[in-house]
Amino acid sequence: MKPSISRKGFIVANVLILSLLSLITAYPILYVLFASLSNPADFMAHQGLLLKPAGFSLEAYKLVLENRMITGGYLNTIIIVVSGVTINLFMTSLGAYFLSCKDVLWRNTIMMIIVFTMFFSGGLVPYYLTVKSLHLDNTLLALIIPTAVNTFNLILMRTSFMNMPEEIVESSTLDGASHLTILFKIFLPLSLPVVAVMVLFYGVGHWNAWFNAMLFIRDRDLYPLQLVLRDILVQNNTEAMLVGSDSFDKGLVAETIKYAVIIVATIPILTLYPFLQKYFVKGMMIGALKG
Amino acid sequence: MRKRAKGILLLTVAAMLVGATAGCTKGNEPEGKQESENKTEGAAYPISGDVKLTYWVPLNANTSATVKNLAETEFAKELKKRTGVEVEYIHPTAGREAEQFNLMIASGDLPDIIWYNWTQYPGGPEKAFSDGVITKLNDLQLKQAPNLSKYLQANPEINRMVTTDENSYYSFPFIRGDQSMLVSAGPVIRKDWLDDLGLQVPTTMDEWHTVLTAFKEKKGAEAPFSPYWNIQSVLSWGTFIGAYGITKGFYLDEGKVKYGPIEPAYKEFITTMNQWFSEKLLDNNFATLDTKTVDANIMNGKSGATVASAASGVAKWTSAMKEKDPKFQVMGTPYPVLKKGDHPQFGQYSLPYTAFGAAIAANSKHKEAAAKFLDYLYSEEGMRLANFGIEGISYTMDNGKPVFTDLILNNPNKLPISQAMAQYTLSHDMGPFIQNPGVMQTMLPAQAEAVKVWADTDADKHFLPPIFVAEEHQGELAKIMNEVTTYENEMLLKFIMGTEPISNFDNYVQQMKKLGIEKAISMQQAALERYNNR
Amino acid sequence: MSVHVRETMRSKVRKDWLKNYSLYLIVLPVLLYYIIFHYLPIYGAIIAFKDYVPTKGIWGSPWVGLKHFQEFFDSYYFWRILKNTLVISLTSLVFGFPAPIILALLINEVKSRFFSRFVQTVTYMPHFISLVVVCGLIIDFTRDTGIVNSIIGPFGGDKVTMLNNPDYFVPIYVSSEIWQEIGWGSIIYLAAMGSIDPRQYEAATIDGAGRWKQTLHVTLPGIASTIIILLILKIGGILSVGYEKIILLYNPAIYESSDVISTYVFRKGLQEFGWSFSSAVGLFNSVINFTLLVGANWLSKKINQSSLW
Repeated sequence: MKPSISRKGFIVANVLILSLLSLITAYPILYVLFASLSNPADFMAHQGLLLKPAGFSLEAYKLVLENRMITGGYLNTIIIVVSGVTINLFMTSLGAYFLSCKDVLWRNTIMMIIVFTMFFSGGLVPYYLTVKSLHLDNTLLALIIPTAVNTFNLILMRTSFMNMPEEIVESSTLDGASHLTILFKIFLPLSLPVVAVMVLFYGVGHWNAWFNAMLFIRDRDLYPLQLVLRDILVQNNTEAMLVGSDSFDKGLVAETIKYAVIIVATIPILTLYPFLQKYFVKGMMIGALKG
Repeated sequence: MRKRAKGILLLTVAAMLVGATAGCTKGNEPEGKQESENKTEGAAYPISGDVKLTYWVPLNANTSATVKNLAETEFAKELKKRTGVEVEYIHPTAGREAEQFNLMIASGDLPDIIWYNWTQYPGGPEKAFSDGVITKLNDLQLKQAPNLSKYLQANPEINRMVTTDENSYYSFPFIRGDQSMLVSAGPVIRKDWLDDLGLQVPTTMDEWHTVLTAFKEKKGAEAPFSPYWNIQSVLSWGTFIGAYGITKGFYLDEGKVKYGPIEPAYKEFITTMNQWFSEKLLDNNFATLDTKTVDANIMNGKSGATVASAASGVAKWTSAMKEKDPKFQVMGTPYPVLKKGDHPQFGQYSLPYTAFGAAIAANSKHKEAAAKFLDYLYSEEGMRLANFGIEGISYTMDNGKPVFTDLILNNPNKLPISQAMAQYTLSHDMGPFIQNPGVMQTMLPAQAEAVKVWADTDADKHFLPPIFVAEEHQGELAKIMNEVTTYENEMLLKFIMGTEPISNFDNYVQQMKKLGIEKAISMQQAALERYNNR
Repeated sequence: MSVHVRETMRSKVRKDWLKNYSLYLIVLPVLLYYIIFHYLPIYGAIIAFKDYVPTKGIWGSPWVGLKHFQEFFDSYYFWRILKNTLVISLTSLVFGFPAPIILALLINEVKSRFFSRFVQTVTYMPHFISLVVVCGLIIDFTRDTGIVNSIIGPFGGDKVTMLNNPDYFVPIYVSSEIWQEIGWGSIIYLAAMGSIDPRQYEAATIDGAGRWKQTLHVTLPGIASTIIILLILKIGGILSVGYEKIILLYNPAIYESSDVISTYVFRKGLQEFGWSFSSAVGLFNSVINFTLLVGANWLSKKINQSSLW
């Protein structure tokens, strides 16, 4: 069957629309990249869209990478991401394993207790008081432990565990394997795509988180990267950037520094992301099919 | 009726108490005796027993420029050596002090000493006592803090400021020890531009308009006037708004409390500001400016006038531009008025006691040690440490007067004066001590000149002393003022930016009244009368 | 009778424990986590009915009944923040909800695998950029000297800092939301479309239906249950506009259109000592959300037989 003329018209229009959309989506990111590589003075003089860097200078990157706040924030964030994801993965597997087991009397009750928290929370002040009373405040633990399990991710993993062939569990139980062995030696290796999704979701979550840090972290040395970014980008406090330098000379660079900071802070995600894309699509599908 | 009767009763009791204490000191007339008693206790430094205290205090930017914790400064090390008390200083994050103070109080987990403006505590210091947050100091102060007690006895006017209506002491206050130190900010203008354009220093609103227009047209200033702080604080100090005979917030007008933003003159004021805004004489980003941006604006000629302080403005820019542009010159100008020759009524002014002080937590296990420790800085040697640092290092004695050494004035590590001072003293900022006018020797001539010009107002006549509203009204007042100021500030921005037509001014006043501003005024009036009776 | 029931219940519990105790040990840390970090704060929310005094603790503070709720309902700001919350979330719903569905339908029509992959890769990306960066960019781009103004500048119009004008806040908020989430939101629909039985399309083709008819009669019904479930979730969250983004974006000049319930809770509780008051407002919000969710779910069960549980 030959496509009709209107069909052809639609296909062309569709490609155009989607191309335009991709361009609109990607442009802000490109703009930031170009701006960060620009020569500050040329950039300031430039009006309108950037199609390539205005002039060229790596001065902004040099300053960013020399800055103690940013490198310190980077280090803190890496610590948080690595230890946080480890704990997330451990806790989420435990919960998902339990919730995927059949013939357990209290399973549904516990499931309800957990799901309820997705829709009902105690509020900001009680939450703060709880974390504070555990003396987690002003430590990196405050950014790791209170977010140890994400209910949405827990349900996702549970769905994947429920699809495990039952025979595997039965035969290993007969071999005398304990639940922990089954979970870590059989279930997890068999559900690598979901594990990858978990690592990605939790990892990105930790990488991008700032609110808990704003609540609980007092010491600037413990600031994660996003909180440093907030000072620089949102509160427009480039002071954090210019400590100890002749601020007037560097004032101009402050304009492009902002963009360099964004690139430096986002690059790990943007470079890893295309490789991980197929995993999270798969992960979302598991969630969607569960319905 | 009942309430009033109770109030009167309280008042009488209070009056009796005042009488009683006054009587006591008089009764002990051979003052030397009391003093010698005090001395024996006061001289007990270093305090024995290896006490360790915790102390919550925001870290001033000049200090944080060189160290991360106050304990690392030479000042704190010396203080520790002399008092024998080890202090763990806890600093909130810069810029988030209020939030973190709020959360600290909410958690109930308090350090021994807390530095704060305790009159800002919801319900005031008396409420802070009854909430079990801080300790009432009356007894402690008498027994453990002879130096502070002595100073307060000698200065009854200040004594009245640092107590509550119930004559309770709640903190070890920061006190500016001399009239000359009460004014520190005001309008600032590019002197070299004025000279270039052949213009006089503006004193009236019309002259300001002319000058700013000239800056815009002839000097290419994109935003001739950029306020250095947010407009709310700038206005509450009286620049421009003062010309109309009012100020932002409560003020005194011949013994009566008034509230500027509902006075008819406020309308004239916002009309002018709106005009300046639409003519782009007033920085169109004024609502979101921050000090860094204005620093840049002033130094690269985007703005030619601002409201700033002697230290963070005039001094900073003058020294930063010294080599860059030798012609660059800023000066403080008089507070503008409407009619030429009038004397400015309003201006930035602060009381000798700004309501900041170090309080001792109610659940502290070391109250006595804390009081003794804090009292040290009110002693003769302590005051010299807090103001000038360590003799022979940061200052030397010259004709009986402390003079800063080159370590402060021409720091070998090229630190600005304020940062060098921050390593050895508290006098660059504030703290539980009495600031000595001698520290003003560090001022540049332009700075000293500016302060002199700014101080020439009647601001002290219009300034409300630290008064407390009756406890049963405090909740209501807080609620009213919360809604009033939010609304007022929003409307102020809108009126100036023209998103709300000024013809709606009457509706605005109506709304303010609906929110209860008149009630708030009468509460303040009553509180003022109680203060006058303290 | 009742004795008998209790007996069997107890023996059931005992049998279950004997058989599954190791499973319960496994879930224990997770359960503890939920109790400590979710249920303790829910317990703490009772300070909404008290005048919380820190030194007296949550339990020891005096009860005041509904005082804080009353104060909130009487407050001048009650209607404003309620209105803003509704305006922002309804605008997001109306524009933001269909956007990913449309995108998914368009991508679904693309024949070239490469192009489809490319569009997906690009449009998913913003989802992974942190809110801090996104808001920093928005603030920067909409400044009077920012790129948005320099683009529209030549077409006339004053250069204004858009985030100082209350009228611009909602459009900025919603459009940036769509920018960030449109691609990500489409994944789930694409997944649902992928699971539609191809034979349905074949049957439709045989019946002579063109692509447009097929979209209407096969694709849309095929993803309808997904759409409804997501819609229920959205409705359940209608009063919970994300405060993180607004806190990063707003300033007092535009509170009028940007202050929502959650930001109000944030300011009251974290900046203005109104711990109990803030908890009351938060609790009010939670209860309404929960009710809306249950209600929407019930409705959809009635009409469509799809539901969350």
